[in-house]
Parts: sequence; C-alpha cells; structure tokens
Amino acid sequence: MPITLEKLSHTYQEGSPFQATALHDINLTIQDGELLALIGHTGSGKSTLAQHLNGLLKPTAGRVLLDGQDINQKDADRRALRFRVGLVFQYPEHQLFEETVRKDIGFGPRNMGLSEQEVEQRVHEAMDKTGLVYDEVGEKSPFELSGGQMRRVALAGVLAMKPDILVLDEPTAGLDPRARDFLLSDIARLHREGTTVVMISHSMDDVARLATRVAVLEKGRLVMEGPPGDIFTQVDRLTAMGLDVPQASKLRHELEAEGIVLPPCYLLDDLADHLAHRLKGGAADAT
Amino acid sequence: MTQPHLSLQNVTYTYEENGPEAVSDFSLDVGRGEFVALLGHNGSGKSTVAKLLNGLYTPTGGNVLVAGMDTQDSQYTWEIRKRCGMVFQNPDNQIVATVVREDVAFGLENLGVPSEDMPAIIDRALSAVNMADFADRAPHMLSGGQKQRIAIAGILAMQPEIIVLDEATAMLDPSGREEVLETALRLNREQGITVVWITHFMEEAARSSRVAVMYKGKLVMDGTPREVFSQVDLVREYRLDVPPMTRLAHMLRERGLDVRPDALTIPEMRQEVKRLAHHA
Amino acid sequence: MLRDITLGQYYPIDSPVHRLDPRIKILLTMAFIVCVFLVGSPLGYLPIAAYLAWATWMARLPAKMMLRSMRPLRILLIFTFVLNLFFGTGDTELLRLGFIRVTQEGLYNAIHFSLRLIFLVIGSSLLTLTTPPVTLTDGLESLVSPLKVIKFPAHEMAMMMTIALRFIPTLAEEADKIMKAQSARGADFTSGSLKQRAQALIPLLVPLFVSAFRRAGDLAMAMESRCYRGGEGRTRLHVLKTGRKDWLAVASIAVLYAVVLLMARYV
Repeated sequence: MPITLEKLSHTYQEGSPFQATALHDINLTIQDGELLALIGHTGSGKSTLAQHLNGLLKPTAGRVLLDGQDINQKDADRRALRFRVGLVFQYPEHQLFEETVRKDIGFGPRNMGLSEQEVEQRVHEAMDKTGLVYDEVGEKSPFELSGGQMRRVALAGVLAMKPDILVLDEPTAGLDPRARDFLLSDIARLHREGTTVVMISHSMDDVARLATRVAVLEKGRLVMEGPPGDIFTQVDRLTAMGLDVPQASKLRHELEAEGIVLPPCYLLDDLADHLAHRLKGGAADAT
Repeated sequence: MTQPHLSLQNVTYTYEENGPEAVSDFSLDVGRGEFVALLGHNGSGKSTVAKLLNGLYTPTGGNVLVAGMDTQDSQYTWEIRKRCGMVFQNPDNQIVATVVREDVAFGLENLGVPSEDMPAIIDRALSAVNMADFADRAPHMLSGGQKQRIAIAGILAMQPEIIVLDEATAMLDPSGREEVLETALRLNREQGITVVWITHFMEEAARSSRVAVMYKGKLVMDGTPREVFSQVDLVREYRLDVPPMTRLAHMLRERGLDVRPDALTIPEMRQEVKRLAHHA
Repeated sequence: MLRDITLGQYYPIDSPVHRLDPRIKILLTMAFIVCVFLVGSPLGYLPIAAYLAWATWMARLPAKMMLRSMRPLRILLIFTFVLNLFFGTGDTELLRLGFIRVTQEGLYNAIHFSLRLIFLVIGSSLLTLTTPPVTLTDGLESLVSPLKVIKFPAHEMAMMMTIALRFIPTLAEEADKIMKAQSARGADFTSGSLKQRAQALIPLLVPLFVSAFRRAGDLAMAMESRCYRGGEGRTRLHVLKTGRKDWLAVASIAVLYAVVLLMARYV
C-alpha cells in the first residue's frame, strides 16, 4: 500500500510571530517494497516529513494518502494507522521504560489489543528479526543492556506491531562500527523480506549500501529524487547543498577530473571492480 | 627524552570493588603537542580512560600523570583539571548557563579570575572557535556543532595545555562533526595544545597524527594512522573498521593490483590510481 | 518552540528600568507591595496608578503587555469582586435580588480589594517583565547571601535555579519527543478514565526521569571537570553594581510612600 504525499506543506505555529515553514509543497509517493532514503542537511525538514507519515503531525496544507485514503480525515482511525506505519525515532533507546525487555517490546502489540499469547508470539518474532536472543535478554531490564542492544530492543518494539511500512530516523546515530553494521544488515534483511522502508540518514555510505531510491530535501523542499545511481553521480550539486556523497562517488568524480573516466558507480565494491578492470585490462586509453 | 605530557602507567580501573576491569594494565605516553585518536568499540574502556585523564576518576591500580602531576594526589586535582580540559559527548549536558558568554565564564568564575579580566578572555576564547558572533545567544537555540564549540571555548578560557574530547562528535551531523574536528586540529596546530580525540569514526582518526586502539580495556594497537589502518583484518578483529579508502585499497589488492595498502584519504588514492594508470 | 521559555515573561528591550540593579528592583517591588497595602480607600489608589503608569512608561513597556499579565488572574479577580459585592456586610442596601443583597460597604470593598489585587499583579509583573530570570536569580543570591552566616545555602540555591532554567527547554523538548515516540507505538495520552490516563503517563515519565538523571550525572561531571567546587572563592562575570539611577528609583518610591500616607491621613 503506497503512501502518497500530495502538495504537502507544514508550517510550525502558523499565525504566530514564531511561524516557520518546515515543509513546502512536497509531492512524493512511497512505493510498496522500496527502501527510500531521505537525505538533507539538519533542519531541511526530514524528521518533520517522517512524522507526517504516521499522522503524528498534520499537514497545514496538502494531504497524506495511504491506499488512496486521506489519513487525516475526520473519521480516520489514527491509532490503527500508527500500527501500519511504524516510526522509529532518533536514539529510540531513550524511550524504553518497562521492567523487562520482553514487556517493553510487547508495549505496541498490547496497545493494539492483542491477546497475551499473540503479544508473546510477536515479541519472539521481533526479537528474532533484530538478532536478540529471547532466553538471554528477554527477562533483563532494558537499562542493563549495551547501547547497541538497547537500540535493537527499541527497533523490535516497533517491528512487533508488524507495520507494513517502517520509518527510521537516523537509525545508526551514535553506534560503533560493529553495531552499525549489524543494524544495517537487519534493515537490509527486513527490506528483502518485503517491508517497505523509509530511512533518514546523514551517512551517505549507509544510504548507498541500502537505498533503492533517494529523495533529497533542502530547506523544506524536495529538490532531487531518483535511484541512488542518478543522485550520487551529481557530486557537485550535492556538495553545493552542503551534503556528503559516498566516498566511492567522490573518488570517481575526482578521477574523472583527472581524465580517468569510469562507469557510474557509488559503491566501493563496484568502484574496485571498475578500477581493477581498467587498470589491469584496457589500459591503453589511460591518460 | 623530555617528560611526556600525559602518562598512563599500568593503569587499571574497576567501577565496583572486585568488579570487572573497565581498563586493565593500560600504559600510554602522550607527548606535548600530539594529536592522538583513541579508538575502540562501545564498552572498550575508552571513555573511562578519558575520565582518568583529568582526575574525574582515579585509577584502581597504576598511575596517571598529567604534566608530571599524579591524579591521585589531591593537592593537584584543580591544577590538573585546569590544564587538562574535557569535552563530553552530549552537547546539551555540559552547558551550564543560559547565555553563551556566561557559560564560557563558568570555568573562570570557578578559578576565581577577577571579573574585570573575564570579558577579554571570553572574547578571545569565542573567537578561537569562530563563535564570537554568538556571545549573547541562548545555547539551546544553537546547532550541535556550535554547542560543542561553545564547550571548547569554555575550556580554552581556562588556558589549558591538553584537551580531551570524549566522542564529542558522536551526536552531530556531518557538518557539525567537521566543524568540531577542524577546530580541534587547528588548536593543536596553532596553539600547540595536546589533543586526545576519542571517536568511533575512522575517517576522523585518519586525520590524527597517532592512533591508539583499545579492546576490552587493553591497549592493543598504537601507531600512525597508516601503520594501524593498513592492518585491515586486525582492526576488524577489534570490532572496528578502517577508513573507506583503506578498505578500497584492500579490495584492489585482493583484485591483484599493486596499490599501497596504507592509503587513507581520497587524494592519496587518486594519486595511486594515476600512478597505476601511467604504468599500465 | 513557543516563546523562549528561559526568558519567562521577560520583555527583551533596553530601558532605564531594565538596567536597574536587580537587587534594588526586588527590594523596590517588595516596598511597592507594602505600599499598596497601606492604601485605605479606592481613591488612595490614584497615586499608585500614577506611579505604575510612570514606571511602565519609563520601562518602555507597551500597556498591552501589562494588561496581558492580568489574564491568568482574571478568574481570581472576578471571584474577589463578586464575593465582596454579594456577601458584604453593612446596612445600606443598594439592591436586593432574592437572598442576594448588595450593600454600599460591599460595593466599596469589592472595588477596594479588586484594585489592590490588580495593582499587586501589575507591580510584580513590572519586575519580571524587565528582568530576565537569571538576573533575578543573581539578585536573589546576593540579597540572601548575608544569611550564609546561619548556613543558608545561598549559592547552591541560586546555582540550582540557574541550572533548572537552563534545562527546562531541553527537558520540555525531550518530553515532547518521548510522547511522540510512545504515540507511535500506540500509546494513548488523551482518552480513558483518570486511572487509565495516569497509567498512560508511565511510558512518558520513566524515560523522562531516566534521561533527567543521566543528564544530571553528565552535567555534574562536566561541572567538576571545569573546576567547579561550590561557591567558595568564586568570582562572577557580572558584578552587581548600584548606581545613581538606582538611588533615584529608591527616591521615587519614597515619594510614593509620602503621598500615599498623606492621602490615607487627610483624604
């Protein structure tokens, strides 16, 4: 079920002297099964946009459609919507509150009104999906865990609601390299298994690794949108916006300026292949 | 040899009596004017080392010397903290005052600096971190990178010789991280301040002059960024990663290309590719 | 973020009143409050009103701001007025509606006490509108510091207030974020019985407390590493100074006292 943002604008504190436009005339459709990365400078409106996807914020103009239905209609069931569109906030471990990991992950399913048996089942599944071992940590207090584990408990807490669409705001912020890698492969697996994912990230290398499509926000406007191959080859434009580009794109771009032209790529593996091919094989056209 | 600026000698630290050792038998000397990056996975003990460096913690075993002063000797406590300033991870949790200028003054007030001397010192400290225009702003309205630079200014005002930054960029966006790293590098270069930079961003460590790696409370690697990161497999064993260009060099070598294994930055890699393109 | 909460009511402009020493301002406000209580009749409020009008003009505050400060108290004000009006004592009946009767004394008291309340509120608003909370804290610290001899923790109290002011916006933002995060997991903060609503607050309060304690720990560590060791031997960036303008302000309130006391006696 696709989500469509239709001419969506959001203005904070409209009508007051502190009014500020966070989003301006956004048109964007999130397709089933894609992994859409939202990138942009801090304050470009990414998080504001994410909070419109499950109705936490209401547009001041325009509409958000889920399956063609306006989610902010008067008779819309906004709570049911939250269970279909799971939103994981930045530093989600800061919202953990229960005595045990098991209970905390079960909070969402319990709010859905499921039976204890079903809740338990969902907790098990969610822990499996995030690489948490039930018998090891299920009865532990979430506050005893390491930072990386707490992050996974928080993610499991949202997955336990079995959302069709998963929205992640900076999922890897503050994690060490190992924990970052684990979490990214969890996200990749969820996506492969059919969950639609929207991911906000500052790390272009993470985005390059996972995204099937990239949308770029600047000062509340959607300025670029397309497959990563199209976005990350526009190195100059992204740099002008103060954004990073994946390291592979950057090197490829610099080599191009030196007259060494390689096929478009944005992943280190692909770049290594192209370079190997170029430097070992058809070297005649170098320089 | 001249006396090291910071010296950890067989340091052990446990949070609880008979508890597990957060830091065990850790020895490291840092020379005056060095820029050392301290790396390690979460829970490796690197934050504990930071807090041992200015006497916030005192070692359970071994000694920590700051400019020759032992942190266990309580008569030096304040002198050590004045000379060795700390910037912490969360920018919100280290700013005390509601106005930037007053926050920078905090350390000076604690040291009993005469009121009439403060404004000039504060202005100089804020200029050194390029935040002079923000002196009268409310800190909570600033960006993360700006807040961290205010924190650095607060320490600079106390005229330290050493600054320890404990994952000061972990909560920042890429531009904020660059602002703070650039500031620390410049203070090291221009004012000769010794910097201990704790991070888990390998690209940042690549820009230091020395990298020390911790694993489970122990010092396991110590050398220049090139020496450390060229050992890709070992670094990964310690639950870390190498900078992307070093990873690329590793991949190219696996594909049979003779690139240097210790390339760290994009310009270096570009040079390598050009060299190979010429030879091919 | 609504109005910058650390400023409280503070109206950030420059005026002679804004520049007064906060200690003097606090003392003057206290003196003013006493003065209001010395007024014996509704007519006696004339000099008070004139004084306030003059002070407001000197502070360059728009009259609208002053009236707005009355808003939170309008219920209390109506209550005071109605209570005095309908349940007053005295014999000179002006009006009778069933069991309700309005007497001349009742009317007199209703006006008298309502005016007193109005002037008290406006007078103290003048202090908070022209002084940022942090400066107020500094002033208070300085005023109560003589009490240190009897071990009153003046510095600690002021430091606590400053830190509270610094962290109110941070924690407010955090509370908002946690509330949203729990709503995203289906938490419902707005409906249900009183008991259900109280229980619904647990997922908000637990993380908020955990975070507040973590922040407090971090802050203590940061303060200690910046050589904080209590008020002993500490200097301050801003030294409170009392100057000519402060003594003029004191003189102005002395004049007010004289007029009010004379009127109470002869009018």
